[in-house]
Amino acid sequence: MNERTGKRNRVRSVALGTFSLNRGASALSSGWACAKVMARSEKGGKNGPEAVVRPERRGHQFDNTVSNTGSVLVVAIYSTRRVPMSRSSVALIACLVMVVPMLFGIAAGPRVHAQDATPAAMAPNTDISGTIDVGMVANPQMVALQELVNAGAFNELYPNITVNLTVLPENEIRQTITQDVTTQSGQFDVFTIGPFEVPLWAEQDWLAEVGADAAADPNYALDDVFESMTAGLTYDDGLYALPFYGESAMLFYRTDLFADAGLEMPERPTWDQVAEFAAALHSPDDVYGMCLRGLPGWGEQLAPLTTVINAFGGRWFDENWVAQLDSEESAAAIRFYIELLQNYGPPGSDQNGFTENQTLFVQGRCAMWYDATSAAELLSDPALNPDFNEQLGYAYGPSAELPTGNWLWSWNFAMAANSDAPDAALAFMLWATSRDYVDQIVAFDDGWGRAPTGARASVYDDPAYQERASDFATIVLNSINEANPNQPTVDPVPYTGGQFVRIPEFQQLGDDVSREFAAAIVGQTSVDDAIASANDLANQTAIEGLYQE
Amino acid sequence: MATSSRRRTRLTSRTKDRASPAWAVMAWAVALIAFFPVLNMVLTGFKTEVTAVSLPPQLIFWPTLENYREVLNINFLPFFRNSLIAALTSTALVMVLAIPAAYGIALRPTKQWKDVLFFFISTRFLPPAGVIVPLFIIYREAQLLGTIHGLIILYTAMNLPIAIWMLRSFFEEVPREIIDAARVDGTGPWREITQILLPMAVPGLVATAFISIIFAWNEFFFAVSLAAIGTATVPIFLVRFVTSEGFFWAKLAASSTMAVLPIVIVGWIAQRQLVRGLSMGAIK
Repeated sequence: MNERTGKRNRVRSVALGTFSLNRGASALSSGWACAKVMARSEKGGKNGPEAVVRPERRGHQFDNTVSNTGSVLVVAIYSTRRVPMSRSSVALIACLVMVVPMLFGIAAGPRVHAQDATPAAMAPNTDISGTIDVGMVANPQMVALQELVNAGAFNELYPNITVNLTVLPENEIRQTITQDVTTQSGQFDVFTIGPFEVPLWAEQDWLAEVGADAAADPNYALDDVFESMTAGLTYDDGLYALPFYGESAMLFYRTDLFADAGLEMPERPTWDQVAEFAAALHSPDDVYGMCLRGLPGWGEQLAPLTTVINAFGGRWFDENWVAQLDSEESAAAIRFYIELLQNYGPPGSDQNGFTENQTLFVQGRCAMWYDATSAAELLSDPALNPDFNEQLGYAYGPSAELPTGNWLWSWNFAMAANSDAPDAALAFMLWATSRDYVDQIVAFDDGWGRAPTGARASVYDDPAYQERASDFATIVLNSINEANPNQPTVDPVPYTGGQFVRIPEFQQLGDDVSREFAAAIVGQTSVDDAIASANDLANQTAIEGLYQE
Repeated sequence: MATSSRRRTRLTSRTKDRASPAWAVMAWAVALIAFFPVLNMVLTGFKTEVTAVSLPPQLIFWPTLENYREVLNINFLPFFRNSLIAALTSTALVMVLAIPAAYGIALRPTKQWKDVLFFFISTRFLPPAGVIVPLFIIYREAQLLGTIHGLIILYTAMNLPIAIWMLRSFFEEVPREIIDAARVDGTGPWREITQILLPMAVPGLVATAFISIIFAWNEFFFAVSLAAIGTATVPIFLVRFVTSEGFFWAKLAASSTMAVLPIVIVGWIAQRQLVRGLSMGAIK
């Protein structure tokens, strides 16, 4: 999570870096071809340093600038005019000539592509009208949805609905949506939301119930949506969000390395077996035995780690909300996870989240990687994994006391309870999460790469998808069906959630606890100390939140 | 006055010395190191997503326009237009407000002018995150959420203190003799500003306006919190490619390159004034 902010800051510092480039001297800019020309012409134009002050120019400058006070551009353009020879202008125009067609010429390309979208199956519905604001997390599936909307696919069905889409990275969109919904500002009509928030927000009356309408629409086929998914989106028997795509967890491994070492990966491995394989395959200069998320954040490190705790028979809290992270089972799971990373993981694992591990795997540096099933779509794509997609093996998420860690996540569309265009909002949600939408995007992209999967069973019956995902589709399907986030642990718990604890305070608690564990991963603190502090933090949260008596 | 003329002598004599080759080499080294991240960003924009994450980084590769194609698949122009309007309008307002303020402090100071100056800069002490919630509520009530007016007001307020500080120091450097001479000739404050002060401080004005434009152009936090829905600006266009699932470095680099281009172009156009304005002794 912090890493995202870091990246954003990096982007901004790059922009500022460019600024300081201008500030410096022409020597700085000469790295760039265009700048080089400019710098040379600047030099040619001046007659040494004394050229900076020219009284006759300055007199001339008086009249012009007076009328243009504050008007930056005019002053700026004026200042170029003062450069005696227009070589710099020539260079500038040349650069513009290079850049402008690049900006606009290329844009013409994909628009042609957009016409390939499947024509609407239904007759246009002109009864529903309105303008809706939709907020979405910037994952590939949502970006594809946006492109399809921009290509007019939605308006072919609902010509009188205007859809404004806001797409932002996970952290930013979460903040924006939370801010909007909790203050009841009513800017968003529809937004993407995770199962963590849905029941909590439904309880606050911030979300509109959509299950009844979805069930009433025969074309929508609500019973095609995985029950395990809708279970996490239900509050008080009402369905408050519709799943767009979903995921559970699985294990990815390199078949070539396993064959070379004479090892065989069972279809359903145990964590003990995984540790043995990691030890056998680990050769730090070449391949790391096991890749796992260590990056602090409740949605990063704690997602896989909590499923390991679940699988080992541990839990976050007992029925009286007393923290159980230092219980025998939980502590064993946390120690196992951290030591696996310390002994057989990449260096600096405390900085590795989903994207970093995906990068390492694609680079051939991971023998095994346990993460979300959505990685299967990315790793099996030859364009995104050109060197190792042939050597990619899939197995179920490892087991211990429990056969599964109960990882279950989905990105869903929910409607704000105070939406001023509920009919239009509902129409959009039903379209985006329908089975038809999957076919439309597959036709639009001419491939399954960005199609939403893991939400509807019928996708897994589709022969085209079976062909594309034959190696992993069954594992994903079964993992989703087997996950039970409403009873995630061996011993009873007062909370629900597979890879999280569904209380509002968990975002903060999870971020704090994962920082303790990250410190242990890099050896700044001992594992025992980290577990003790994490347990204290959990107890403190339970007391302050009035959960604990 | 005495101090500034002494400084001028010192500066002139130093610029006449030829720098030694060692300094030149060092300047080049520092320049290249400083420039490398930007170069890498531009290069990465032309790589495929997989090449962009390969280790060691590839400096020689087959360039692709695929990222630009994907980036431009989303209509860039509304973002660009919003940023342009917000940056230019707020900068114009900043200049209109800051010039009289700086003039007053620099040339017609009151007794407490130092406190006034400190008050201006103190408005920037509070971190933006500390004010965002009240600001959000105020904006919601004033119906300014997601509007360009809301952003312009914020950016004007954000850049005003810095502009006053900068302009004050530029105005201070205008030789008092010239102003005194004009006053002897009976010039009023208006002509004093428009016909003497501003023309002499053009490099300073350009530098100040440019910094104000840059700050407004690059501003992310307020834009994402208050204007992401409705009037998203270029920085918001940039981050949309950051995904928690899948690679995005090449696309991000391509969109970043596009985002910095306008600033680079404006910087180029104003380069000469800027170098003078941002280095010491802009007036001389």
